[in-house]
Amino acid sequence: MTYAVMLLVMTAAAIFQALSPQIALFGQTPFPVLFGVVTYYALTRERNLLLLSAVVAGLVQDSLSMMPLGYSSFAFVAVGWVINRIRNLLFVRATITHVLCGAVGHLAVTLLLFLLLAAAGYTRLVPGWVAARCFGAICLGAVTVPLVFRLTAGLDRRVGNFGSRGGYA
Amino acid sequence: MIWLILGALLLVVLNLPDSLSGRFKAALREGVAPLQDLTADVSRNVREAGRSLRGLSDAALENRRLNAEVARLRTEVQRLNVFEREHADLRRQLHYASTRERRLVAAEVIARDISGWWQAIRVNKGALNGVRPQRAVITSDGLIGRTDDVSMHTSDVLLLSDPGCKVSAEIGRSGAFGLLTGRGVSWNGLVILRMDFINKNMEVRPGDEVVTSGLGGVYPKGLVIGYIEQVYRDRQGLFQRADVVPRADFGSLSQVFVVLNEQDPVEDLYLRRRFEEGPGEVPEDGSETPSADDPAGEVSP
Repeated sequence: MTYAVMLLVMTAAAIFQALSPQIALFGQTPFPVLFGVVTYYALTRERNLLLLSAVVAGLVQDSLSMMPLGYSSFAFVAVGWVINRIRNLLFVRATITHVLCGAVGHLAVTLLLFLLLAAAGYTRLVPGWVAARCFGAICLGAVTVPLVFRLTAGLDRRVGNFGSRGGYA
Repeated sequence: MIWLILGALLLVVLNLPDSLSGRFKAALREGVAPLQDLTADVSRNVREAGRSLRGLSDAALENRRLNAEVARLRTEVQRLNVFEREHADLRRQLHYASTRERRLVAAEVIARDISGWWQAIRVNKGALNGVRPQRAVITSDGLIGRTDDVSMHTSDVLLLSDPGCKVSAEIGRSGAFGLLTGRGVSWNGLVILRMDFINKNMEVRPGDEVVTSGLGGVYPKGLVIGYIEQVYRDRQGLFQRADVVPRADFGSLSQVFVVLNEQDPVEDLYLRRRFEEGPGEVPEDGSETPSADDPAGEVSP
């Protein structure tokens, strides 16, 4: 059931992320719905499931964009691994944790992707645009990840993947 | 151990040859495309319903305005028909090769680039409909970009506003050439285009129409791009550059047209087989041919 929920959530996340508006003030950063799913698994599940979700989310994001295959997977795995490592120090179910992980995590993913794309020659360093994207990454990550966390946790509870009060494996 | 395996897998994926990664991406895109198409339809219908509710009170006024516009356009078309006949006569007299009408494939926008790093959209027509990479994409208002990655049923379109999209352009009035580059989107959501390397001795005025020059082989000649907004002299004083306002509205793209080249193989192969083998016969290699009624979803301009 866990894998079925993951597949369903990834598909819905990809579609919502593609349809979400890209605001010019935020450097046209998309709403990080796929990253929100990865953050959920990083905070609440064992490492194997986190890795699987990060790789799959990254491949989905790369396939639905013009990004070279593997770049998003790399960024999601790196940031997801860090979140998974420090989750014992965090209040996993607290909204403030989701907000901070979303803001800082999405900023880290954005910067990692920018470095990879710039190194491969796909993008240029334009300070204003990069600053706008970083600002957008922080704001949108802080808003989107808590929502995605709640929805995914709710779905997991409904299908019986968790106990009624949560807790994580 | 799992991390080592995963690290190795990621290294492989990051270094996959383009053909392999392209096939994987195409397969995943084809899988998600029907859902994206459905979701785009639903959101389009909801927007239309909202617009209809808001517009009921203005419907009569809008109707009158549109009737006047139709009358004006009919007069303009009659005037242009005269010029077209005159133009055809002159070309015949000068023994130029006749220009063929452009073949267009109509497509609908089903998604935008999901990562936000490119100014790109996805449309619901692909190789099966005759679309190929590096083909111009237009709306009824003007040029919007070019096809980039094409799978069987979908195509990625890189928009003019993306810095990676460069177009050889020409100013209609003076004939001055330049290179048009996208500069992204401004803070207030306006698309910014910049035309560089314009000869400093050519007169360029705000309001001049900018069209494709036909150089470079991707964009056919004469596609409308937009209008000059402001003209500058560059610092070295060797060239001029200008800000260009695109004619097409990039914020509300829903229906687009892919401009096919004259030599695009799907259409030629189909026509050749139709004439050589006759209708109803199966080609020797057993491959599918487009239907007689709608070969490739094409429309004639």
